[in-house]
Amino acid sequence: MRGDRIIWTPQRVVVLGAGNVASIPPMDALYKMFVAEDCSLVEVNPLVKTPDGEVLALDGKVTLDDNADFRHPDHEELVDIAATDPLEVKAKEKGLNYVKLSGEVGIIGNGAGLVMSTLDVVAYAGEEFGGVKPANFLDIGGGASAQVMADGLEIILGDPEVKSVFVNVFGGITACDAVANGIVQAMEMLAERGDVVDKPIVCRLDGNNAAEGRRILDEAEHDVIELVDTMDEAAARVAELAAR
Amino acid sequence: MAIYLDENSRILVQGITGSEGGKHTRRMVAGGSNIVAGVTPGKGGQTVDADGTAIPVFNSVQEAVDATGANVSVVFVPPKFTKGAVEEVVDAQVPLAVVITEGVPVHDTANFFTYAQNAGTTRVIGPNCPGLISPGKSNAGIIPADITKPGKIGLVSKSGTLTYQMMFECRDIGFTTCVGIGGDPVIGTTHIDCLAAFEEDPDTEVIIMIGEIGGDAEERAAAFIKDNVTKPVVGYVAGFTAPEGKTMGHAGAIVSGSSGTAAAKAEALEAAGVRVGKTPAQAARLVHEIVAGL
Repeated sequence: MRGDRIIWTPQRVVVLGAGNVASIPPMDALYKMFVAEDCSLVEVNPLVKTPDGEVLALDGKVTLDDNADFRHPDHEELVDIAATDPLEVKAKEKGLNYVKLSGEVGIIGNGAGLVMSTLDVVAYAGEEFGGVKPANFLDIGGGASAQVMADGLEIILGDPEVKSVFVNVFGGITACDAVANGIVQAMEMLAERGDVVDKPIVCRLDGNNAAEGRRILDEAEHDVIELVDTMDEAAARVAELAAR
Repeated sequence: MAIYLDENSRILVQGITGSEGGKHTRRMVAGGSNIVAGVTPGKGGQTVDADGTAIPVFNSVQEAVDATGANVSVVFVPPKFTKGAVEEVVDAQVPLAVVITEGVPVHDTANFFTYAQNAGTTRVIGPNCPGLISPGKSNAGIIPADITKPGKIGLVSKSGTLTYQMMFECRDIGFTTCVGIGGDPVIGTTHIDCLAAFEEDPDTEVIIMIGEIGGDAEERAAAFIKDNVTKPVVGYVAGFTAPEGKTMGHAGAIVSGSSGTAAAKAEALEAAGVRVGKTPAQAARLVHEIVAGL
């Protein structure tokens, strides 16, 4: 199941085009492939029997586990970059965990669960402001260094659909003062790169050293940065700003 | 009381000489955990200094267990060595393996978890998880120790930062144990395992369960709660706005077709009598209401 019939979409799904008829390999071959290639899915659908008794796999789909790429250097050539959103490609080059969505509020947070939750809270808040929605998923991870924050802001501010940005950080392993310094330095880096930051950025810092983090952002006095205490209030504010 | 981890836990750290292993060992020691040993193949005989405490390093888990009586292993080794590391824990019959490592191939997890199940000696938590903490007793993993205090809430979560967030929102009440089970498609300890343990734990009076999109763990947990859990449960599910077919950070967090949606999970939990918050803050308010009425 290799060759030019295989297409790799951004979700790393290999699709055998519907027009390509391949005879179905025996089940043990499918299983061997599942194990040997570190697949998380091997699907044949539909499988048909022709009037003369031949069994054909009319279409198939394979999902590969990218955590196992170190065992499969050959998988890399299957990636179809042209089918991936350009912002997602750029984010991937910078090692960021980014998914483009269709809304107006750019989102940066630390931790996959917290970012998913942030998208939801913004969407709920957005219902009050004409259906404003989150523009992306971006998890900058536990570290949240200035460099990563700057890269993240650059990707999000480069999305023409974004009207406001929500930086939602819970200081756990990385304390909020370090995150706040990261944000301040990120703004300096963006200025040095010649990026004009004119979209409002709402920041919510909570957890470890939150008071110190807020003080650092307050003192930096950036025109576009606004501090809000809680996640729900911040979501309402950033949705309001996006609706303007 | 607490579940899985308490003041008698003697922790060894696999990958203690790596940067993450070393950093979090120091954090665990500072937070009051009893770290008795480290394991890094080839570095046996060295010691790792954690704020004045010299922790001996061994070449194998078995050597570390023989010398120190360790009964918990926290695994920080890189993804390609994780399977071997966990199998070593099982072979040494250590009762608890906490696998922090992110990016473990799912086939490797399936293999080492099956290995542990067949041996029947070792509970596996993770991989790709923040570990677990029983505040005031012990901390095995990377959950910040200073967010909250001992109390009456038991928490089980797929997400690390949402765990911290919820611990913070309910810090005035406190927790028996918080378990981060991880967001990978295949994991060792499940929501159901923790729910059963919290139901049995006399000090846990309220349970918080945090889920997210992908798979059907929350639906199965809901069915379990309906039949087996008498204590009040508050739920929160992340990912209502996640699009179909996109992996949202955690490898397991993906809506496939119409399955794995947050809405279906929240609905299943509510049908089982779980009070589900729409936001983390709302879930925390529900916990406070329940605790006030106890």
